[in-house]
Amino acid sequence: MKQQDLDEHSVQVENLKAGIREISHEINNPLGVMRMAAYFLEVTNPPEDKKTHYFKVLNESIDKIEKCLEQLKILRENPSAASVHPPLQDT
Amino acid sequence: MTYKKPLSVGQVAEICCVSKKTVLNWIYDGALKAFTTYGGHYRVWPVNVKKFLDSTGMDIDFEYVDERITHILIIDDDADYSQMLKSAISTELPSAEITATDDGYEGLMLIGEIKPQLVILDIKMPKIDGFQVLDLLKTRKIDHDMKVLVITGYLDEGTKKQLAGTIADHWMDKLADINGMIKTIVSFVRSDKPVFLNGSNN
Repeated sequence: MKQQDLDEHSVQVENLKAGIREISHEINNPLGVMRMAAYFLEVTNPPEDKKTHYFKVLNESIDKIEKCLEQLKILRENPSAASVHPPLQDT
Repeated sequence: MTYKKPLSVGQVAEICCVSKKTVLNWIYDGALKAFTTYGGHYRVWPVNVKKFLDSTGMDIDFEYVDERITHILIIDDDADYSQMLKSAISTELPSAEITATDDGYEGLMLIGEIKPQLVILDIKMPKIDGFQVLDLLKTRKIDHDMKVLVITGYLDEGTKKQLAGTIADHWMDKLADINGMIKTIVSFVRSDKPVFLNGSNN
């Protein structure tokens, strides 16, 4: 493999890592919300309206995670798409 | 006499039978915890006078009621998360006044306004992120006791290293066990020596 190809490959790997890092973090936020909503449903025995709210929050969080997983799928199929998330140290 | 309100240097001097200069030296040395008023005068909460008397073994009768109101400020752009966190803290600290904002700039303004004992700060936020808030707080003169607890979904090794160089007192993952998280928060506002549960501490 030529040096130029190696350099390009290395940049792509770094971009991919940064992209995965970004997405995994994006997943953590809705997971934190889900954990909090589950806590309230389990511990506080909330009234019906609150219960509805917590389920809504859970569903919205699931949607957010689903979007993140779609992004991961795009990355898997097209690793160069990761370049939209440049490594933080380069910014 | 039962003390409730913050005491002036002169009052503390009278209680301890020492000069004002001696009290000021205790404050400068950090032995006696004090805060400054807008006018630049030192004030000491009765609970801190009691702690000082106990730690130095001074045999002085001192009765007080701790009337400090606990203010907690949550700065997080995820409104669902901060509202639930607010409710969870309220169950453990029903008398605490908890304010939430989704904007770091407003958070900075509120810190000056409500003087919270504890700021719970998210990292990734639009407009101004948690690191920028921490940097601005570092350069500002905070004239009251305040701890900063970072709760974020972005807690990897790089973020922890970065946080270690800030004024944050502790950081936790948003995925941490809620009971542990609440215990940590409560210990932050109730004690001078917070307990750290879940997540790393610095």
